[in-house]
Amino acid sequence: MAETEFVARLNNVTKTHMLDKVEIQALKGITVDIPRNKFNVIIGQSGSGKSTLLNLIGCIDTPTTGSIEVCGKNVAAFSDDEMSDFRARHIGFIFQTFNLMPVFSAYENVEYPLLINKIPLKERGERVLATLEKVGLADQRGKFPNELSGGQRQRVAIARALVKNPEMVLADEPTANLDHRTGTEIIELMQNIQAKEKTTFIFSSHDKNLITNAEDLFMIMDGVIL
Amino acid sequence: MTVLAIAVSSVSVLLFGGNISSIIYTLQTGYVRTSGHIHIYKKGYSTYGATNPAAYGMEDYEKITGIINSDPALKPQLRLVMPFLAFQGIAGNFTADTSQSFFGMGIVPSLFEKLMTWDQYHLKVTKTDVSTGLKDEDLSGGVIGYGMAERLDLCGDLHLEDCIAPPAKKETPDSAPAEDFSALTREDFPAQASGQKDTAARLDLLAATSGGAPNVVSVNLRKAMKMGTKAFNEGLIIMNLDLAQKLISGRGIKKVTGLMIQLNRTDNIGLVKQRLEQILPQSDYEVKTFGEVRPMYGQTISMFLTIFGFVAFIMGVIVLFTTINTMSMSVMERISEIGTARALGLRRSAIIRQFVGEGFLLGTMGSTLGAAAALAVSLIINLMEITWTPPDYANPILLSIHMFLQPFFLPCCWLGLIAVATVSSVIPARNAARMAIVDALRHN
Repeated sequence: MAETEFVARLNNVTKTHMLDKVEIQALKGITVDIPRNKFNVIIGQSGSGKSTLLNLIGCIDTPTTGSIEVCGKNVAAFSDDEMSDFRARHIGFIFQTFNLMPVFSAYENVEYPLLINKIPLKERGERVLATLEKVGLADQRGKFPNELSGGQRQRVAIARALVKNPEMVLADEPTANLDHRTGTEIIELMQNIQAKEKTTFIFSSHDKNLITNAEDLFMIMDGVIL
Repeated sequence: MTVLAIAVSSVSVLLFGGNISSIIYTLQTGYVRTSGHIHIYKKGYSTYGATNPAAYGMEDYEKITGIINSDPALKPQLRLVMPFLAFQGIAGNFTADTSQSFFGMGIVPSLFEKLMTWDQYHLKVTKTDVSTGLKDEDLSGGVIGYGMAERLDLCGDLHLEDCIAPPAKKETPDSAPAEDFSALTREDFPAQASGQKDTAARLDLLAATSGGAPNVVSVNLRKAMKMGTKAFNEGLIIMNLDLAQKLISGRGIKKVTGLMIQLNRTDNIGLVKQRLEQILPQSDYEVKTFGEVRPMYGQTISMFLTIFGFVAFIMGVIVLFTTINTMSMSVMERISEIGTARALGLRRSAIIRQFVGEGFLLGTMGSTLGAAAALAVSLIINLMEITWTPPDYANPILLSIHMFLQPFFLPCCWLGLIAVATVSSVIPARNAARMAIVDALRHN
């Protein structure tokens, strides 16, 4: 595959945590290339290192050793501000617990990444409404997270991740806190978006539904890609 | 709760400061009303005058008054220039066989009345009437301290209410007959004796003249007044300058202790003093401000400002730690939010700005609320006209709170507390910004 076909490339990456003076090696010399425009799923048991791998690809953590290239950039060389700006422009996140701002409405939550990117007001409004429309929540834009169901909150989170047209969307167990039916709806939504927009999705999940629909599957066990 | 804590601190500082401000300006008003802004004495009086007042009397006071009043640079600042004569002696109510030592003050009644109405700060100082009621043409008239009137058994003569008369005395063989002293007045000052208005309250005043000889005059007391400090209340007699000069100068050249100058505004006192030192020969005269004449004024202000500074510092520390605590709690409660914001691409500096901004907002709300509450409370207290009697005072004065006497006081307190609240948010804000994103996201 040509290099531009990969949204993320990891070369011999290790990640070590300290837990009460005990050294834990979460990732052990991982080398993996994540392809663009695909529905990628990383699977593994709890404690296998899949969340750590996702965090490194998402540039919210740094490797202990090894190199990581995201969207063609060597992110290890970035300063903290450069990393923040990079995430703001190129990477969308969907969290297991939705992580919506409780004091913002659905509209404002989706608008938030555009504010960070200093998008002008008119363009912000257009993009937010269009994205809420995509996830089927345009009529709920004034509601606050505590007024929405779990499925609706995750839709808002998806909209927030997509509104800035990112290079990739990372989702750590996005359906873990949803019932089966809602989880299926969410996966279908993301699939439709991926098919239309060709957005790269990278999930970590146990969800069989997600696994079944994966275009590329990466299995990780004890910090090693199998 | 933090807003409330800041508001309460603001109220405390403003009310306390407003009261201190009120006390300081009331004190100044009191001093300026009784002794003017500036005194001019003969050179050396302030150092040696107490031991030999006669040697330091001013003879040419009328000429000096003319020079001062006609100076074009001083004219806009001047309110009045009044000669005065300060002396000591023995006052006797020989009808009642009572006597005591006294402080005498010879004044020009019309100018003294004007002196007592000085009101740069528009403060209502006391409920007590401070007018002497003396007239320029009443050459033998005088006013006595209330406490002194009681001691000299003048309660009935002066028709004083709530007056405590001394117990009746037993006549002893050694005591001099009362009429002997009174006779001195009638013999030496027949003109005065015949010119006296009929009054039941009369005192005979004995003092040494500038030549050293004893002299006696009679003063017809028009009223008794509660006079400021206890010492004055129990020992001061104010009289017409003419009468005081008769007592002290006798048939000699009439002199005064000095000139009392009252200005329209205290702010200009330094410039006026400078100008006076330019136009008056420095070898012959000394110019003293009221602060120099009464060092206790400066010491009292210094004491109050020190106390206020200490209290303000304590309040500032309380606000500081309260805000640090609140903002730290806020950071703790919003760790997940902070992690999410950082993951979405918010820079560390933006997180810091957000929390410092919240601290600023808390400070602004608390400080503004406190200022409004302090204004309301001060208005209520001022309307209630509560009185209190300061140490060594005979008259009660009004307890008041004025926050605008010093124009920068209220804005500085308001801004100061906002600044403290803002600054105290910096540490929690930095802690929030420095959090590892993955750790923050895990905190749910």
